[in-house]
Amino acid sequence: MLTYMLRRSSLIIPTIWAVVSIVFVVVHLVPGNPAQVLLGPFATAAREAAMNKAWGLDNPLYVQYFDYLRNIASGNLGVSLLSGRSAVSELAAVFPDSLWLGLSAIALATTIGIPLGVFAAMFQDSWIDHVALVASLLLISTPDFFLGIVLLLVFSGTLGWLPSIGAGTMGDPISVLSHLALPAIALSAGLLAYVTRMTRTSMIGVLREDFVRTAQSKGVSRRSIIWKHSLRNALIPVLSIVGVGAGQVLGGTVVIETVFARAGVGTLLVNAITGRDYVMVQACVILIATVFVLINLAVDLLYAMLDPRIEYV
Amino acid sequence: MSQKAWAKLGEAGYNAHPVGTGPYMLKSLVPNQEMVLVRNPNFWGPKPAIAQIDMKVIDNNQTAALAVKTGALDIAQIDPVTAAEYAHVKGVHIVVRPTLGRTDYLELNTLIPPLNNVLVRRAIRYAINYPQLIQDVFRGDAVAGYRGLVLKGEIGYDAAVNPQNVYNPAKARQLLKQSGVSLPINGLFFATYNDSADIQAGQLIQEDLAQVGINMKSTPLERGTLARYQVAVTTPANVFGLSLSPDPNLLFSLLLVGSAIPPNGLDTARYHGIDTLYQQQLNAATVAQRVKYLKLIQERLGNDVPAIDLYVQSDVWIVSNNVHHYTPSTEYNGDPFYLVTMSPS
Repeated sequence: MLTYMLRRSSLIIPTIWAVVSIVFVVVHLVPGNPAQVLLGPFATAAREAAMNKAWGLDNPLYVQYFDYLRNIASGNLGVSLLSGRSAVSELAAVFPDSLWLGLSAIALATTIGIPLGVFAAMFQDSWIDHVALVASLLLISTPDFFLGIVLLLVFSGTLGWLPSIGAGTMGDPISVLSHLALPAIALSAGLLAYVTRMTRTSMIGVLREDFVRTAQSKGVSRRSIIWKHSLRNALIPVLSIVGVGAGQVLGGTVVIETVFARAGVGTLLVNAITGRDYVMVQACVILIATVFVLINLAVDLLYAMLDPRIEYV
Repeated sequence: MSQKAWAKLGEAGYNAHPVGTGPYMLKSLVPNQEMVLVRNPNFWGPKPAIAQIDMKVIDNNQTAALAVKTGALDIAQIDPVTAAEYAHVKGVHIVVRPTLGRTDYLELNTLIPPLNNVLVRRAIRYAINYPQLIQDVFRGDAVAGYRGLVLKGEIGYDAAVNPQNVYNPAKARQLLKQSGVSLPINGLFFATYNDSADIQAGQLIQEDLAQVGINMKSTPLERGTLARYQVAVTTPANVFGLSLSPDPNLLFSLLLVGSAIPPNGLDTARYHGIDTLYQQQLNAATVAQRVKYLKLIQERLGNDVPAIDLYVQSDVWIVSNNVHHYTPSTEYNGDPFYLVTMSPS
């Protein structure tokens, strides 16, 4: 297991390198440059040239690329071209909010989706099953920004139960959780739907297995058969969905942060793209790619915990 | 501003750590997201009544308006369409302030055929339905722009030579016929901003022009790409939104005086028709002389049409009823910050 973990961990760096390289090329191909955007129409040629020189943007692209790789190898993600602050401090200011939001969405999706899928499988073709299927289809079909706006209008605007914007007061758990509720629900909806459907399908398959019939004939309780023996087997494909869905959730934070006016990595990334802040775009991409890779590594390790037959060598 | 701080921190550093003598100090800043100001205890003037001002950047007007309604914000600047939805909502009120110079211009490239034909440019000006634009996009909180591009209230404004633009599609068609250009005119576009009001306005302008035989496509672009189109020689037209001072020289030097425009300036028009008059009014010995040249400039711009002043917007604010007597400055453009909360002393 340890060897497997080390081998998988060693793949993180080449994966992130590939992502960063692709983004580096793409972001430099987009029309416009940060000096133009930042200085606006009042810029003189001399000022624009001076700014590009200060940022190293007058160097050939391959020189900029290798300079950048050398810097990130030493832990220096650079300085934001637009704000002048270090990329690390920019990310540090907003990453906790995004992390809370993303993890909350994943937690909601799994803690609601898995039991819902189990019940749907247990009561296959009953009204519970039909409601679960229709609800999940509706959630898959509904864009998360639309759901976010509806939740905002209903629970904040009309009922006044929950706050509308921001992340709350750090250190006050009630404030943080109340500000997290609506955005997390909106962000989790799509993943919850997929988790529900996959759990249902997987459980239906597992419940037909011979070992389940054997357990039943031995008098094992239904509760134990479902939640202890069958679910564990059914969760393998569900974990795959969660791993891939985590990427969707990370991408969805951009829209949800905009709707709920929350600071976050998503908003930072969008502002960096429109402002042609190459440094921040790459820093955000490194962070998002690292988080995504780590989540999937955790998912792979969970496979082995769930199924002892899986051995990593 | 502190010269010492500027020299020590440089421009980028100073922007993150400003040093000044105003009534408020910067407490914290998350660029493009949030800014917190606190009262400056060493302020030389009267003590400010408000101890702390939190400002948040909120891109979505609906979110901002809802935040004011729920009490998360005290004040927000929003678009007129959203304001109309909240006009009768309990707990909030709408404040509208006509601004001096928050204007959108459609700048036309005077070198590209058929826009190099002045009759075509005049036809475009007549073809745009200003009243409908103002009603549909701004719910009436704007006025039609001015032929001579100098705005009412600015120095030298002369209503006799610089009336407001009028919608006259019959006149537009007549001018196009006189121009000798074959219709329909195809292959043109104008770049514009990609926020909802500009997209909607662009769509309406595109439809108005199509009705007289000019197929000029509205092309909303994000900020970085728009910056490229603003300086490209081949761009037929651009929409620019500007908030200008009471002096029209800022408009001239930014858009219309070829010799004064910086390299990244908004020189879509490639126009030199008022270069000499501009210098003359700049060097005028008296105000009266300057006003005389400004009148000539307005006449020239009205005739040559290197740009069309589409509308002059009002600023619209949604304000919590807990805030009394909120009076934004007519010269203040609050975009992109919205006040979150104001803590009284």
